[in-house]
Amino acid sequence: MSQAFSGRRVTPRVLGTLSLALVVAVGAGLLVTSRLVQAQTSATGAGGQTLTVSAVTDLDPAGASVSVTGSGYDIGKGIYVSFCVIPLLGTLPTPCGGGIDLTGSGGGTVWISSNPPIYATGLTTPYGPGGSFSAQLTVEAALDDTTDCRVVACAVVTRNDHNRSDDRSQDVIVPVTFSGPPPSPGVIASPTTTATVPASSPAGSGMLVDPGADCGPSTARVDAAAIDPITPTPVPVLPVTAQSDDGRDVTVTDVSRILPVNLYGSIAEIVFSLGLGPNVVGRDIATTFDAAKDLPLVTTAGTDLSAEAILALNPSVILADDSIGPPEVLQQMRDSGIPVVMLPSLQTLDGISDHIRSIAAALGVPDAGDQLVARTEQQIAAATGNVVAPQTPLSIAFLYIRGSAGVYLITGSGAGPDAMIESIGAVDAGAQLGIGGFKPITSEALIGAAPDVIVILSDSLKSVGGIDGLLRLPGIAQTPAGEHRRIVDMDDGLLLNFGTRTGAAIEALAKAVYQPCG
Amino acid sequence: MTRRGRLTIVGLVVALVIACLLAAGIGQLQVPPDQVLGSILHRLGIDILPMPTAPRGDDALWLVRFPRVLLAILVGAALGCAGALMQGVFGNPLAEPGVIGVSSGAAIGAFACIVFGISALGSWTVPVAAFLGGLVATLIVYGLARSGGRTEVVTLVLVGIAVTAFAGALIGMLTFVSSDDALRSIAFWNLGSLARATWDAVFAVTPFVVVGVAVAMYYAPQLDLLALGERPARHLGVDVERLRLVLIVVIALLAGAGVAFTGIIAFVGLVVPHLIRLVTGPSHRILIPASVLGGALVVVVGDLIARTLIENQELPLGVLTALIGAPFFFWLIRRTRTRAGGWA
Amino acid sequence: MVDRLASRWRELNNLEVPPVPETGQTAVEVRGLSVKLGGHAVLSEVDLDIRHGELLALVGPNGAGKSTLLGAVAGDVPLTAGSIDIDGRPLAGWGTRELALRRSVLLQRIEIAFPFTVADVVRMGRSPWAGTDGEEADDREVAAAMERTDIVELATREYPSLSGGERARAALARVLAQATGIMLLDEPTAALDLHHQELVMGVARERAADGVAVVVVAHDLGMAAAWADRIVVLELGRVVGDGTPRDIFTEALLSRVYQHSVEVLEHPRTGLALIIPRR
Repeated sequence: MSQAFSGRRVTPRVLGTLSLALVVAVGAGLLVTSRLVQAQTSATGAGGQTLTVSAVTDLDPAGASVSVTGSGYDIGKGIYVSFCVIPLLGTLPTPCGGGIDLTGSGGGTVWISSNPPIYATGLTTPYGPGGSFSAQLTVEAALDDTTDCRVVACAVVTRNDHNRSDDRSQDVIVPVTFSGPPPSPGVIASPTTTATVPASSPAGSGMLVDPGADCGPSTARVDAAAIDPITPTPVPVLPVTAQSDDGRDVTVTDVSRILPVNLYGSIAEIVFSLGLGPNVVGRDIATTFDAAKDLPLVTTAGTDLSAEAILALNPSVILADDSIGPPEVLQQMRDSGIPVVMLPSLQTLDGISDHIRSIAAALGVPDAGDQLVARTEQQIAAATGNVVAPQTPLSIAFLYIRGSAGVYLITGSGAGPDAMIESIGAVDAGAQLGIGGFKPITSEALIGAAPDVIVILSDSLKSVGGIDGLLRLPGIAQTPAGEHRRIVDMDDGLLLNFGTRTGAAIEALAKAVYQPCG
Repeated sequence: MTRRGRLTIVGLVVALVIACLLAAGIGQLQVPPDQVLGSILHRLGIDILPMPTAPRGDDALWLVRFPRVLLAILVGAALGCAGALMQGVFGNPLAEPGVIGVSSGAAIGAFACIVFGISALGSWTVPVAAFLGGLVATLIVYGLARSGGRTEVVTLVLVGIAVTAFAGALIGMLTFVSSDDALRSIAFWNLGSLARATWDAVFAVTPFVVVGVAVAMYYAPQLDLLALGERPARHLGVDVERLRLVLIVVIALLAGAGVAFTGIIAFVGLVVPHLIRLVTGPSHRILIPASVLGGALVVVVGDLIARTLIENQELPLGVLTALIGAPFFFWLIRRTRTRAGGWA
Repeated sequence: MVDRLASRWRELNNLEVPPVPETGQTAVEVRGLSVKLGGHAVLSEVDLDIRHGELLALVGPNGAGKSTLLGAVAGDVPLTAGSIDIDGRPLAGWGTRELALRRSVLLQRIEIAFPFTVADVVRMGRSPWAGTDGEEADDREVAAAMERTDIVELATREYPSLSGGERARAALARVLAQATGIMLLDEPTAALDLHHQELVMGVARERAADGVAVVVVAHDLGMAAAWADRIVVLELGRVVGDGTPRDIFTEALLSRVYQHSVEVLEHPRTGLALIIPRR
């Protein structure tokens, strides 16, 4: 019992190994020369590795099976062997038949790795002696809905797997041509257009519902150091009488020792963003950005405040909201004469500006507050405006899981994740079910909700033993999200916090959900 | 009272006073014992010892530490006394409110108050509800586990499992209908901690403990006779029915007090009376007062350890006592089994 | 503290302390007693007078109702019909403590939940006297009871660590210390060796001589014949014989009651009845 609920605490952010493994960065790769050898069945790469394809000309456009062999590859780096549009020199080959195949199903791509990530065990084939491999590949002219290899030049390609997608050292290409004339013009887009499509869906799969359906898990990340205090640093005008959310009028005369605490770390984030970070004397367990992470902790028992720890810091003002307690401790602080300003704690995007203004007012820096509100609203507007969502919105479920006991909670309206999910143009599966707050859900209900994507906290993912552990929990594997391994993990401090980094958080979530392949 | 008994009582009182001074002084904000005494005497109008020098030191003592130490004394006394009484009533050294589900019953009572927002009796509501929950659980355990004046180990443990499981189910149902704040309370309850000690809690619990301990002391001599079994006790003039009824109410009263503001702190009521019996013998005339003092001592020291063992972190006290108490319980079961020559 | 509790005890209980028992007075009067346990008649229409100064042995085969009769007199077994008077007042008319000052009971098996010492256990026999004038005799009675049952050297031993025979004597000492006018002993010699059997029956005999009404449930008919003033034979819940050993222990009666042919001889020196099953 207690496990399920104590687990609801916001815990320190530790990035799972998976998160690192699955970060797919786009950008200029290393400039590695890949030699093009026309009408040759073999090619040699930068490291002396050789790729050979059994047949390279006059292949059947409807689909031809070719044998692909290689030797001299670096066995420390896993590779994909796929059929792709010939890339520009030194860039990632894309699009490819079968995409980055994490499910191991498509015949368009083979994954060779001697040290696969744990979730890929069984999907990969290890290298043979001397960095060799041999694979059967099915190639067809129609690479995807919009790309035909009778129009654009395609090749059998080896490249590093997604663990090292920026590393071009294993790239080798052997161009392939098909027999027969190209299909009628107009149907096929130009090569430059196709190159901007981030990832392909399986050939002939029909309507494009989820652009990332075949990309598997991803992680939404924001740089932990990215607290950007406004400039110039404001000078507090004191004393102020703050309207505490508990109905009291609280007079604040000194903001030299501020203690900002709540369950999500958002109050501390706002105080730092207001430029008053140097005055903060302690932190809650959810406050882990670089500027604050070395401050003494006052939540010594899980998420509960410790009266002792607070008194030891001798704060001149405490900012808190009703997400943190126990109320007895806050009352003890009032009794000891420390001003305690309670703030509104609505977990919505709209609530952020109100939070910022209340905090700024309580600390005597209302103008800085307005400045920060403007900046934050602008960032959020920009982030939501940039979201490119599919026409049919994805259904996303946020699951709260701790440990592999099979107990999980889903969040619905008002819990926080719903606001984030809606901000990227998706539908909150919990809210769709009519759920409010955090509620336990049965596996059947989850299957019935059929989310396209499941979002969970990075710590939760770690606690169940990664994607494979998650998929073993009842019901998860039977959802569309489970089938496609469409699991997005996100740092709790970002997903639930509703503070000044929310714009960045929305951007990160949108990217993780809609462009998981990078 | 034997000489050994007197020495034990005096020793426990001295140890408790020292433990309280230390517990009041040690923490994230250090206050040396002379300043602790100085602060107390200052409030009494006597300024002979130094006041706390740390910033907020006096606040830390009066707002946080003193209620916490006092609540530790009260809770420990209640648990120690309830354990000793329960073992006497059941005629079984393995009986303990936490072990056999009575504390769970009390927790349900208190938690129901929190979930449904009942506060009809002010700060008394929670302890009264805990008392009623504990009473129902005690009656169930008593009714199911006894036969022929004694309680067999196996029956007791099985009834304990059943009652605890049922209590767990009820708590599960309550969590289903409860708000987030109430949920956080239940996590706190299940772990057992003195972190929410306040003066209000101290004042609310005090009468329960005082009345409970006083009644227990009054009935102590009769509990000795009950150790002979129900019929022999009756032959010696004990009104067994009335004794049992009164003591069950007292046990529920004490278990309620021990649980109302701190959650379930298991095994104190098991370990303390047992250790005291090893020192002073089984006579309840000494066992009960010594268990009251010993329980208080264990909880004061246990709480001190729980909040200082790991820097900047606070272990839940209930977890700490269970870590120490559960192996002790296993040992006790084994020993009882060896003595009784097998399971009954 | 103990003293304060004791005085409080006295206030609460306006006890009627019994007079010294007078030999020949009726201690227990059983009239038309029937007891049913689980629908089964265990005792049927038992009439019995037990007098002070008398050692009465209850004999009979297994299941005859001896222990039930003893339990009924002790006040442990609910009566289905009939009445039992103790010192001239119905059982129900006495308070638990008043009854404890009048009759003591030794059950067959006494186990104790906690490791009390033998001295503690014997002293428990004095607890009904707490707060009465009899309290002053506590130390004397305890010492005498332990001495008489030969357990002085066991005083500091823990009761659960004793052998069966030692326990039986310690339990008897507790009953003696209670110093009541009526003593009900259920097979007090069952666990004892020959020497201690004689010792225990000797104690019972002494008490009877002091005016105590002593009832002993006995299996050893020879012992009953040797020590008892009076024998009551139970068969299937009914009294089928009541009289002196010489009157009762006849071959005809015993053979019928025990459903086994029995030979009754006379001891050549003492003249007491020797009861031997025919083999």
